[in-house]
Amino acid sequence: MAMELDHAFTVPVPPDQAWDVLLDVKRIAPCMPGATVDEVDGDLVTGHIKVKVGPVSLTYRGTANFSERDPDARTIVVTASGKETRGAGTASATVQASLEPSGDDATKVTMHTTMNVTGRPAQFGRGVMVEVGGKLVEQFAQNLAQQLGRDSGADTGGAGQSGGQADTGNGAAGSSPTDSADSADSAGSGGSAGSAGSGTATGNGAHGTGTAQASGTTASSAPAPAPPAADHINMIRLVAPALLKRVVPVAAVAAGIALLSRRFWRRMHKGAGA
Amino acid sequence: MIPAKFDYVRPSSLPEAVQALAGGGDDAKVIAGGQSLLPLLRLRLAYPELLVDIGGLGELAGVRDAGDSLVIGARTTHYSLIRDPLIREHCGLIAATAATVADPAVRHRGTIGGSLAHGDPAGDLPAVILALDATLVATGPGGEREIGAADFFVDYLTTSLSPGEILTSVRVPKLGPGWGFRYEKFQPTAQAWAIVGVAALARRDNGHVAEARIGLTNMGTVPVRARAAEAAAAGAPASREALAAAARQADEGSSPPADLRAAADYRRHLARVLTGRALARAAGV
Repeated sequence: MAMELDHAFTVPVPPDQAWDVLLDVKRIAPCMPGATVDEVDGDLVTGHIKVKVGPVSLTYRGTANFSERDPDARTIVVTASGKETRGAGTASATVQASLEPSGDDATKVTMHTTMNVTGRPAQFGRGVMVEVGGKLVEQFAQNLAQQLGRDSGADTGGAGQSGGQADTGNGAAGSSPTDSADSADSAGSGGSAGSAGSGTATGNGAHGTGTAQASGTTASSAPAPAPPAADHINMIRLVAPALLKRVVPVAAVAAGIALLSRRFWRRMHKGAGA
Repeated sequence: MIPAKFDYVRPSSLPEAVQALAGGGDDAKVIAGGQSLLPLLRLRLAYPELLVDIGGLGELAGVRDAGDSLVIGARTTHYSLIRDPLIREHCGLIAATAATVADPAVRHRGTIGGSLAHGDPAGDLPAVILALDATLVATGPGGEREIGAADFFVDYLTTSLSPGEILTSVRVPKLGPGWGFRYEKFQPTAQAWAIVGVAALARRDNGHVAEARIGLTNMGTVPVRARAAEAAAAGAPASREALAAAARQADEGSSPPADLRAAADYRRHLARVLTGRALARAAGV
């Protein structure tokens, strides 16, 4: 089951600076919520990521690879894939991020994510996937926006171009505010990279998906690969049809037998009466 | 499938339960009827280390008259909700909705508290509680706390209950005279989850709808109120046409999910149509 997500946000630093940050695995990785890095080897990051939504929790272990870097187009592509640690499911994602100048000293970052999840979590239909995957990517985008804004804020002395949004709750005082709100404009469009099932990904608005997370939770300095996506939950919703599928035939057969036996009984009865 | 290993305790009093839960930290979960949690465990999508079964806490079951409101114990099953005379008299919407929840087996085991604390926006009771402006009461290590229904549902499967808190009861204001109600549920098959559900309350006065309250099921990551439609319905003549017109704004401000069952646009359409029907029935036309 695949899904696509689009995010865009603007950071108050010139593209050159933002580009440097984008290339730095150690700074990008922690932006993935729930991620922990086990090993960094060049462009290859090994780690695990824990996805938790309410009572549901899934852990994936895998790698993220900076598979493409194009300094001219200012585009990077990160591919990540992972396997569930307690199950047979897999998750993979490709994130393409590009930078372009936006006015003076600001950069527009656009992110396009393609995600694919298999195994138990994928059985539950797209709704769950979208909830979880969308949330993960959205948080990643928000954290990335903050990270880019913060790093450059130090250099530029936080040149006062606040995009608005007093982001509370995330330690870095004095970080230049970034316009994370924009990240909500995910325009899910159907059609997913050649894999089965396609559909629309609804961007769930900028509901308070916790920003506080990323930087804080990942103790190890370079967290995070990105196999996102687990989808969670709601099994029940999903289970019900499966159960029904089993129950209905049995019920139908039972009903058939009942009907037949009634007819039979009636006939016998009539015969007797006649 | 068989759930992963977990510890299990069944306390016999609320303070003991709170203590047990506190001892389990983030990996402890409360279990009541188990109709939402057990499937998660069996599918191995949740791995709590400790389950605190509140099935032994008799004080959490049942409905009590508290003057201008009813206090419904969190452990009250859907089956009891459907038949409780107090609920039928003062908050009939709850009984009517509980009767649509899943199947009889689930209704006999599942509880109102469990349904609310699970926080599934596709569950039926959350939208109803929201439309009724109920207050949820939780007990934790710090004592008792009241949470308005509008503040209770935070995100998909996420409520404002902190890990150590147990939802103990729901206080629902009694509906006065003149109020009608209706829960419209659209489901692909009997017993399935609602693709969209609409809980509507309308107070009729002199041939008009004086006031309306509408809660939507499965139209976002949390149950939502259809405020625009509520405002449009207030003061409208109690006729199908007028209420259907008001219902055209029912999906405003919602962000319905798209999944294998339905596209987001289809859910919006359903919300408008079902709201029109629910309002009409609630207003008695």
